[in-house]
Amino acid sequence: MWRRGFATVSQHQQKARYKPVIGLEVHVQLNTKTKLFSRCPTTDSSPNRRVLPFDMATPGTLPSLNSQCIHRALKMARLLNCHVSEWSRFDRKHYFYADMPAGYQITQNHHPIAKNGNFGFWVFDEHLDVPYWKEVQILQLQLEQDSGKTIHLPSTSSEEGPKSLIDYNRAGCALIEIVTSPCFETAIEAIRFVQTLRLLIIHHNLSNGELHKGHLRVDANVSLEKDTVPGTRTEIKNMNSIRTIHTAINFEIARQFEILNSNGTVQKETRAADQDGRTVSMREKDDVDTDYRFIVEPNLPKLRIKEEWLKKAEEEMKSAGKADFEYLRDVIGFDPRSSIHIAEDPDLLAFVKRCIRLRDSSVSAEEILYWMKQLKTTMQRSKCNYPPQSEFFALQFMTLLNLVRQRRLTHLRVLDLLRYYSTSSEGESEEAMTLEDVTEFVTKHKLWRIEDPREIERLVEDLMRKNEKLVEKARNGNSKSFNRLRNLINEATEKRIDMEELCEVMKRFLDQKSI
Amino acid sequence: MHRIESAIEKAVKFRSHGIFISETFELARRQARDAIEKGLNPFPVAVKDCFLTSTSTTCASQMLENYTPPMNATVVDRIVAKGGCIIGKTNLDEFCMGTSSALGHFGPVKSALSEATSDDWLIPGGSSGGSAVAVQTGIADLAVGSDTGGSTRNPAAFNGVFGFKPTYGVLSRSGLIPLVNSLDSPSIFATSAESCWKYLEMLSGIDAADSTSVNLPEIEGIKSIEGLKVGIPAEYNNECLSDDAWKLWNHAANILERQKAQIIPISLPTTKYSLACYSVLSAADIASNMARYDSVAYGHRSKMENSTYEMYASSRSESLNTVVRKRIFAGNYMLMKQYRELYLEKALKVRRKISNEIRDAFKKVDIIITPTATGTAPKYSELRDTLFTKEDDDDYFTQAANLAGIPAISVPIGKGCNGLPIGVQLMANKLQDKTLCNIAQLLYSRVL
Repeated sequence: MWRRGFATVSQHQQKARYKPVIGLEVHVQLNTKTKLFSRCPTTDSSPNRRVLPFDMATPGTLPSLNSQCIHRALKMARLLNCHVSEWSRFDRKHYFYADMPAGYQITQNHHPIAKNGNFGFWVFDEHLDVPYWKEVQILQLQLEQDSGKTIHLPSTSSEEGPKSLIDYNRAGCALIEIVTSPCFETAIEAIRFVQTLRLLIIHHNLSNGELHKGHLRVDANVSLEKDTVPGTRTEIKNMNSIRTIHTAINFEIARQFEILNSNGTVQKETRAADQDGRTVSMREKDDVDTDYRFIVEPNLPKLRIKEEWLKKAEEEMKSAGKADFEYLRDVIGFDPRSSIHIAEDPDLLAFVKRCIRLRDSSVSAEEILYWMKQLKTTMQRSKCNYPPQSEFFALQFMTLLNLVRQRRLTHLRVLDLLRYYSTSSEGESEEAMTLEDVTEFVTKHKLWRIEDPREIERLVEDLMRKNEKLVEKARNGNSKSFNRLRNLINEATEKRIDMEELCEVMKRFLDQKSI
Repeated sequence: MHRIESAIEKAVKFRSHGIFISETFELARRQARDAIEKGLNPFPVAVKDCFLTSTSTTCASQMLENYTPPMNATVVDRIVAKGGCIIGKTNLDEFCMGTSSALGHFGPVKSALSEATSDDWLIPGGSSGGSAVAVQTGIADLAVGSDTGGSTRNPAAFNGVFGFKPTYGVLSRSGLIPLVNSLDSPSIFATSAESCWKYLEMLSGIDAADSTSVNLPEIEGIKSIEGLKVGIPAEYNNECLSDDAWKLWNHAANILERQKAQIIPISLPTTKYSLACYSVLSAADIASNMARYDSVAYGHRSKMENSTYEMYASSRSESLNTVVRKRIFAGNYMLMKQYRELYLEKALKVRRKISNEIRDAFKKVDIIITPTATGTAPKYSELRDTLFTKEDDDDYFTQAANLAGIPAISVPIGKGCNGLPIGVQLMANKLQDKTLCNIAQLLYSRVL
C-alpha cells in the first residue's frame, strides 16, 4: 500500500518535470463565393456539382487567384496582428491522395502572405480560480487549396469489394492556414484560442466557422519538454470539434508521459483522434518526414500587396466593430467565460442582447447572469426551453430585475413571476397573447413587497398568534419548526415580505417571552 | 468552303504520314459554315493534340487515349472565332517530350518530303511534327504548335516552313497541356512570316484564365533592314553544326548585310549550359505536372487496383512511355530535399544567367541570327541507332529563347546538299514580335 502511495508521489514529481509544449495549425475555410483559383461557386450542392475543369485538375487548366481570398487573408492578418509581406507567392506541395486531383496542393510554404503575429485571449476553466490573459505568437498565415472528400463504402456483397467515392465539391476551396508557435502549455489554452478565434472570424465574415461542417480544422503538435530539453513531437491531425481538441491533446500528453515515464521513446508520427478523443497512429505514407518536393507554382505571378488593399481591409475591420463576446466582456462587463459561452450560443446571445437593449444602465452584468441562472433552473424544472425567445419576455425579465433591485418585489416573488411568465409568455396560446405587463400584473394581484415595517410586524404577529404550537417549538430552538412557521407566513403573505426581514421580525417576536 | 474541302481531301491523301491523331472534318465543315454566316473567310487549321478541344485530346499518350476534355484551349476558341476551321488534332511526341514525333502512342509522324516506308522514314522534327507537316503539305494555312525548347522551330526547319514562337505570355497557355510551365508557348506554323504575324494578332491578348499572359504593345514594326544591328553569336558555331547549316547561316547573314544591316559578332558563352539547365528545370516541372495523371477522375485506369497506390503506379506504368517516365523519375529525384539545391536551385541560377546574357546582347543588337538545327532532318533509323542523342544536339540552338522568354522564328533559308530544307533562327528582344516577323519576311523575300 505504501509502495503505491510512494509511486504516486514520485509520479507526480516526475510529471511536474515534464512541460507540455503544444503548437497549432488551424485551417480556416473562407466563405468566399467562389473557390481560391477558379470561378466555381462554393454553395452547398450534391456531390461533384461544384467542380469546374480546374478543380478536378483537368490538364492544361491554370489557376487564377480570387481577389476576395486575398482580401480575407489581409483581414485575417490584421486580426492576428501579422506582418503582411510586400509580396508572397504560391508553392506546389506534392503528395498523392485520391481526393487531391492534381497530385499536389497549391499552398504558400516559403513566402506566405503574412507572418510574425500575435494574438491574445482569456483562458478560463472550472479548475482555475481566475481567468488569465494569454498571448500566442503566430508564425505565418498561408492561403491554400482545400482537398476533396473521400467517402469509403464497405463491401455490399461477396462479389463486390469495398468502394471509395470521391466528391470534388470542396476541392480547391480557399483555406487560410494559421500556424502558431509551440507556445500553448495546456489543452485548455489551445481550445480557448480556437474558440476565441472562431468567434472573431465569424464576426469579421472571414469564414462561416461551423466546426461540424469542417470550416475550422485543427492540427496540434504535442511534445513534452523535460528541464527545457525539447521532446519528440507528434502531430494530431484534422480535429473538428472543441471537445476533440481538448480530449485528444490531453490524451496525447498523458500517452507521451506514460511512455517517457517508463523510459520509452516517443515516435515522431502523425496521429488521428478517434470519436472519444483518443489519438491513434495513422500509419499512412504521408508521415512527418514526407518530402513534399516543393516547387514554386509556375502559373501564378508573385502576389504583390497593394497599399489600397491593406487600407480597405483595415477599414472594414474597424467598421465591423467589436465581436459580440468582446462587447459583452468589455462594454457590458461580463466575465470572459460567460462572454464566450453566451456568444457561442445563438439563442442565448439573442436573449442577452435583447435584455441589454432593454436594460436600465444600473443593472450589472452579474445581476443579469444571476437571474439568467435562476431562470434557467426554473425553466428546466418546468421542462421549458431555455432561453425564452420573445421580446415580450425579455422586457418582463428586465422589468423584474429592476423591480427586485429597487426592492419593490421580493426575491421569492420574482422567482414565482419568472416561472409564470417564462412558462406562459412563450408560444401563441391565448394565455400568452393576453398576458399583461408584469407591472400591471403585480399591481392587479397586489404582489408588491410590503415595505411598511409596522404592517409587517402586524401580519407576522397575527400569523404567529394563529400558530401557537409552532411558535412554542420554534422558541425552544427547533429550527425545523422555525422554518415551517416562516414558510407558512411567507405563503400567507403571498411572498410579499423580504425573507431576511421576515426572519428578523420573527426572531424578534420569538425572543419576547410572549406575544 | 472550297479551301476547307480541299484541306480535307489533302488530309485524307496524306493519312499514311500520321499527321493527325484525330480528324475533325465534320467539325471543320460546321465551323466553315458558321464563319461564312458571320461574314468571315474560313481557313483550315491544324491543332497540336496537346491543346484541349472538346472533341478529344490525347497528347499522343495511352494515358489520355479516351479522354474528352470539358473545354477548349483559349487559342482554339480564338482562332475559331476568326474563321479558323479545325481539320484535325495533330500528332506529336508523347506529352511533347522529344523532337522526333516518332514514339507517340498512335504511331510516328512521317515527313512528307520523301517517300516513307513502314520501317524507315524522314523525321519531321518535333515535338510538333504533325503540325509542321500539316502546313508543309498544304492541308492547313495555320497549324498551332507548342514550343518549350524548340518544338515548333525545329520541325519548321526540317519541313521548310515558318515556325514562330512568340514572347512568353503573348499567347494564352490556358488549355495547353503543360510541359514546362515557365517555358511553354503556343506557337505558329505558316508559310510566311507575314502570316505568322497575322495569326499572332488573331490569337493574342490578355486571357483572364492565364495569369502569366501579357498584352503585346502596339509597335510600328520595320519596313527596311537598313541600319539594323544583327548579332551573330560565335558559340552557335559548335562542333555539331553541319556544313550545310553553317553555309546557309552565313548566307542569311550576307543577305542582311547586303541590305545594309550591320553584322556584329557577339558572344553568348552560357548558351552551352542551356541543355543541362533545361533538362533539370523541365524534369522538375514534368514530375509536378504529370502528378495529376493518377487515373482517379480521368485517364487510363489499370485493372490492378488492389490498393490506391497500386492503381496509381500500374496505371501510370502501363500508359506512359519510357521517355515520359524517365523524365518524371529524374524530376522527382532532383526535387528531393537533399538534391534540390544541387540541381534545381543551380539550374534556376543558370537560367537567370542565360536570360541576362541574352538581354544584355539586345542592348547591342536588334536581332540575333543563328541556325535552327544542326542540319537537315535525320532519318528515323539514324536517330534510333544513335539512341536519339541527335535530338539534344538540335535542342542546343533553340532552348535559349525559351529560357529567356523571347520571341524566335525559324525561317526556311534554303536546302542542304541532300535537297532537304534548312532553317535559320531569328531572335528578338521581349515583345518585339512584330519587328521579328517583319525582319523574317524581309530576309525571306531576298532568299528567293
